[in-house]
Parts: sequence; C-alpha cells; structure tokens
Amino acid sequence: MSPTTEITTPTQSHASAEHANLKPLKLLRQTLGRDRLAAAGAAIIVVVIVLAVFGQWLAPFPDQGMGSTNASARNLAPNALNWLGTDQLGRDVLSRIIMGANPALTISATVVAAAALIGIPLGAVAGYCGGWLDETLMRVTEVFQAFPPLLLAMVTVAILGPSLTNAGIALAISWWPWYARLVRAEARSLRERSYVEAARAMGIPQLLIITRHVLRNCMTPILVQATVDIGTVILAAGSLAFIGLGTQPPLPDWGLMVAEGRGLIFSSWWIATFPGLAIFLAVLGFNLLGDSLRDLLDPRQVKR
Amino acid sequence: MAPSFPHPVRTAFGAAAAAALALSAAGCTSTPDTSSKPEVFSVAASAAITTWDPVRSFSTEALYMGNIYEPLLWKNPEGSSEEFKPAIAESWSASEDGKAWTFKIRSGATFHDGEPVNAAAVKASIDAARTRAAASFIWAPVESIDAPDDSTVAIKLKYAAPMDLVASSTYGAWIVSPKALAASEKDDKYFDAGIDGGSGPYTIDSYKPGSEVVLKKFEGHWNKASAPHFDVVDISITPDAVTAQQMLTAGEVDYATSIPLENAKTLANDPKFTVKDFNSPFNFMAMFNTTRAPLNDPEVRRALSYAIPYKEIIDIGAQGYGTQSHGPAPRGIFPFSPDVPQYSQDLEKAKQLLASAGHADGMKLTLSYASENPAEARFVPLIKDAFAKIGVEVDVKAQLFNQQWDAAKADPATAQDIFVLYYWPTYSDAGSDNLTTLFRSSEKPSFNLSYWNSPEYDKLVDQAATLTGTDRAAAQDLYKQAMDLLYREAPAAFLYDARGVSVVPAGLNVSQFNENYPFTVFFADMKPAA
Repeated sequence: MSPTTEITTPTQSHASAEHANLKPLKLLRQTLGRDRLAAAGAAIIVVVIVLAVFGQWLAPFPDQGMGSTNASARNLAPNALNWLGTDQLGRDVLSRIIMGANPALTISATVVAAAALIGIPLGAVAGYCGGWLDETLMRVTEVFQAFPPLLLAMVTVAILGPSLTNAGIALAISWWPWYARLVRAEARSLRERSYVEAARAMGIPQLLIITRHVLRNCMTPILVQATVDIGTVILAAGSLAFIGLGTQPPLPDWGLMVAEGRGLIFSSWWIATFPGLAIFLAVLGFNLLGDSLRDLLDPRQVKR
Repeated sequence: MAPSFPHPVRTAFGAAAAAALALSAAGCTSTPDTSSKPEVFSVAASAAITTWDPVRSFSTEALYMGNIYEPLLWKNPEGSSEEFKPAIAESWSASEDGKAWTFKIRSGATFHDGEPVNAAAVKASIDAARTRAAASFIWAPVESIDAPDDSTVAIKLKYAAPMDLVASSTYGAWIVSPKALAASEKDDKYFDAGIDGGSGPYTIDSYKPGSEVVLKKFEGHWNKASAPHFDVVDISITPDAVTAQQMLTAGEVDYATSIPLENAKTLANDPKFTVKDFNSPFNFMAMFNTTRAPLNDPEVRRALSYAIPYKEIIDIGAQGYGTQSHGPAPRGIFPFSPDVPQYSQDLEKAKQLLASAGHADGMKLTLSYASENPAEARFVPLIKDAFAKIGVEVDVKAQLFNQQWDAAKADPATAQDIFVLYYWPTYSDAGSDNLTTLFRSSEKPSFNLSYWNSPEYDKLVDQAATLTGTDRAAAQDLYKQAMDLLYREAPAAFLYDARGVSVVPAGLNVSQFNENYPFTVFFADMKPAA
C-alpha cells in the first residue's frame, strides 16, 4: 500500500471532505426531502426566480412596472384591474413588485458572487500560507468588519452616488471579508490534514493544492453561507433603496416602493405593505433553505 | 453683486422644506392658569441644529433662532398693511440715493444675559455677520457702520441696496449680545452647548443634542403687549415626518412642525383640523443647458416648455399644494408678478416647434435631480413621460444634491441638459437673489445652471437692483421686463411655487405663516383659542 492511498482514505474525522463529495443537486434533494420548511423556502425561491426571469411577460402593466406614470389612476385601492392597488403616480403595484424581482435577485446574486470571488481566494491564501500574509489579510478584513456592513455601504454609496450599480459595489465591498474569514478558517484546519501535507511533500505546486484540495473542501460551507446571504443582500439593497441610496425612481425596487408608500401608510396602506411583504417572503425563502442546508451539513447543529 | 455663495441649507433639508408644514394638534388647549404651574407646550420639530451660533447659522436651526433672537426688523407676510414690523429698530430711514440708512434702536430692551440692547451691540452684530456669517454676502453693499449714540446706527453703502430687506433676513441678521459675541470670537465652540445671546421672547433652557430643546419664556422681553402665552416650549427633535405625525395623532405632542405632505389632504378631512395654505419662498424649475445643441436653440427650449405637464406636477409633486410659477420669483416675494406669462402643456405645439427647429425625429437629453428631495422624485417621472410623447427621450440621473450640483458646475459643455432645481432666496428679495443668482451671466457657474448669457438680461437686473432700495416700483418694472425675457427665451421651465401648509386644530390660535421666515415657527404667537 502506497502512502498516498493510505492518506487519502476518508476517515470519520474528515467530515468536511466527506461533504465535499456530496453533489450540490444531491444535497438539495436530500434537504428538501427531509425538511418541509426547506421545501417551502425552495418554492418561494423558485417563484422569485420565475418572476425575475419572466417578469415582463407576467406583469399586467409592464410599462408601469418600469416607471411609466398614469396620473389619472392615483392611490387606487386593490381592485379587479389593479389587484394590489396603484401608487402615488398611478402605477400598478403588482406590476412593480413583479418587475422588482429582477433587480432584487440580480443585485443580490451579483453581490454574493463578487464577495465570494474576492473573499474566497484571499481567505484560502491567508489560511493556507499563514504567517505575515495571513496576518496582513486578516487585519484588512477586520478593518472592513469593524464597520457595520450597512453603514460601510452607505458611506460608499454617498461617495459614488446613489444607483443600483453603486449599491451593488458598496455591498460587495462590505460583504467579502465574511467569505475571506470563513474560507480562511477552513483552510487553516485543512492545511494541517495529512493528505494536504502529503500533497505538499510530493512537490505539488501550492496553487494546485489550494485549488484542488483546500478550495474544493470549503465549497459546502460557502454554498450555505451564499444561500443565506442572497436573502440578506436583498434586504440590504432594499434598505439602501429605502433611504434613497439604492435604486432610483422610476425603476422598480421593493425597498424604494416601501419608501415611496411609507408616508401614505395610514391612508393608502397597500403601496408600502405589498412590496414589504415581497421583501419579507424573498428573504424568508432564502433563509429557510440556507438554514436547512446548514443543519444538514453541520452535525453539531442537529435539528431539534 | 450676485450672491455667489453656496447655500448649504439648500442641501440639508430639501425634504422637510418641501413639505413646509406647520401643523398643530388638538388637545393643546390648556386649563385656565390658576396656579403658578408653568404652561408647557410640547412640540415635535423636524429641524436639526447644525449650530447654535446665531452669526454662523445658515440652516434648519432657523426654527429655533427666530424665537430666541431678533433682527432689526421683521418682514411681514404678503398682504399685511405694513411691509415691516419693528423689532430691535424702532424706526428707520434711507437717503434719497439709497446709499445711507439710519436705524433708530429701541430703548429699554435687554439681552437674555442682562446686557443692554443698544447701537453698539447692533454694530458689533452686523460687523460679526459681515466677517464670519455663512450668509455674510447679504451685507456686501455695506461700506461702513457707525453708532454715533446709543440709539442710532448709520449704515453707509457702496451702492444703493434695500437694507430694510437685508436687515430682516432670517440668516446673518440676528442681533447678538456683545458679551456672547466676544466669547464666541475667543472660543469657536462657545455656543455649542446651547448658550444663547439673544433678546427674543424665549431663551434656551436646556439642550440635548439630537433629542430635545427646551425653551422658556424670557420675562425681561421688551414687548409686554404680545408676551408669549406658553411659559415653556418642550421640543422633541423628530427628523422623520411620519413619526411626527404618529406622535401628534397619539397625543404625545401638542404640535408638529412637519408631517408628510401627502397626508395633509387626509388630515383636512378630519374635523379636528383645519388645513390652511400660504405663500412660501420655495419653488422648482428645470434649467436648460443653453451652452450646447440642442438646447442652445430657444425654439427647442420653448418646445420643451410646452411639453411639461404643469398641472400633474403640482397634483403629484406638490400633492396639490402649489401654484404654477410666473418666472423665478416665488409667489408673494418681491418682485413676483402674476402678469409674467406662463407656458401651459400643449403637446401638438411642442411637436410643431421641435419640427420647425429641425428635430422632428426627436432627441436624447439627460436630466439630473436631487434624489433626497421627495417632491422631485415624485414629479420627474412625469416630465420623462411627457417628453417621450414628443419624441424626446430623457435619461434621468438621480444624484445627491451636492453631487448633482458639483457635476453641473464642473464644465457646462459636458454637464446635464436639464437641471431640476429646488430654490429659495436667502432673504426676501428674489430680484437680487433668484433672478440674479439663477440667470445673470457669470464666468464660473454657481447657481446659474442654464449657463445663460444675455447682456440684455444682465443690464435689466443690474439696473433693477440699484433701484430696489429707493424706488421699488421702478425696480419691479425692470424685473418684470427681465422675467418676460425669461419667458420668451426660456432658459428654464418654471414649474411651481410650493405652498406652505399649516394644519391648525380647533383649540389653538397660531400666527399667520410668514413666507419670509419659512423655517421658523413663532411659539410666542401661539395661544389657546378663546
């Protein structure tokens, strides 16, 4: 028996290595089969994705969804034509909610992807190499993490100017350190593993070890984190829009719609309430699925 | 003489000012004063305090300042029998050429710190304002100030100017105790803790930054005839108008200075309230970039002026509380004239004009507005939609005001095509402010964001400005000609003059809203209804 085969044999203690072998789809199937809440979350996510992709065909008034005004039909309560009522500019609230799914999902997916793309390599290098590089990178992440994420995003947007794109950049800037730290922690424990040591001893280039052994074994916790984060970023982007630092009118955005209807909450409650519900449901969906994935993957947090 | 200084106040509270709501609640009628228990009036006020220094003040703290300090003169609201109400000055006069002004100072008035109010104090206050006020430019015409005796202040000017209007400004014209002035000159932060050096009917009792201001009645005030009814005014600083409305309806406060404009109509239907609206100095306009094609052609600018949906903008942007502008002077503020012609929406005519200017197949324009201004956010989509109907595609840029303004000032050649501006004059002379600041040519753009250059116009406003102090009718006539020229050449589309709105409950008498002090709520005038 050669040393290599002996070392790469999975043992009980190689929990994360084991999880890495689960294909994402298989993992999803397992989760959904076991857990009704997760299934509910997944169902919500599917609806949001369908709205995001096919919104302009599904919305009853796609023009109004994108901001065209209809001044003669202002502040109408929910009715047969406008199921969720109309806003201050006479636009169909349902259409705006449907059309708002695309920017919400796009920004959150982009932010999470960007944060992961920045954070994962930095975290992997820091955790694997250790030493001064680790120290430096981690101090940098701590500087970022010292600010509450939304505050850092607000400052960034205030400098760059309010828009959906800038809100995305701002959120990515405040999000990546969390991925860096997550991966770094995994990488630190992985690099002590004997199979990684063995790979090193065999003279395999460091970059290859990082990508092939370290990163691959980090993927599951990242996947869980990303699922939860998509929901959180929807909320954060909505918050930025709510305070006027995100999407700008007349584009549709759930947070912006809540802001536009907030003053009228006592007289025309539907303007702010329904987009608020949309944010709530979307975030809930991603959280339910993310939590269930975490439960499944982390044996220490067995579902009670 | 154009005041080319920035208006920091403009950025700070577009939102609150747009609403400009003074709102009072039911339930503030108090039981007859049978004991020595002080009568407390509780208020939710949106106004932040950027400084307690009456000289430096140039922002929302005007809400409090007008209760604590007094100017030489108060300017009365439009329609009053007298133009001014004497405050620290008892009487005043100007020489025939308008270059020498004499103010007679009231005797027997004292500052809250016990110092006498006299000519020396007035001179010291104006000198301080000239050197270090944010609004120091209002005193630019002054050559020298003398106080030959305790009750006389003589002001010599470099050129004729309306010093009565300047002296009644809400910024840079408070008369301050010399003791406080000297202390603040030594220590920049002297006023920060909430110390006051005024002579007004109220004095600061306590101040918790960001949360509470308590004012108490100044017993030594000279004007015994109209002494305040309420002994104590307890003000919770409540930046959010929706919260203020909730506090009001829940009975937590007797009065709120601002509620969301969109709810005024609802409250008007509530039998507990009466909604009144008044002139305000605030207006909105869309300034066209006249330096480059296609908006360097007056025909195109006229076409756009015909395409704007003025009525819908007032219905939605102002929630009905506005009137279409007659040029850049706000309704009720000199030199406003209802005879200045207006455009009205006529899409056919707009299309014809565009076609005759060679733009039958439309054009693309960029428009910038201040995203923190809720009224602009409401009405800009209406302009975009209306322009689309005549083939003009508008790329809307929502920016924070400072970014919008910086981009506009940088280089007219690459700046926006249309700048949506929310504006008001620093003091009640829209001739030397709005008409001059916004449309007189200048080498570097400040607020003249049409970048317009018309020697004919410049001549008219310059000449009018020199006459304002001495022959206001002649000045008005010249300004009217200037505004007619603005109508014909259309360097901007004048959208609407906002109305100030006050929701008054049965049970409370409030003073008339004064468009000259739009940020100030005068607590001394409030009393339970008889």
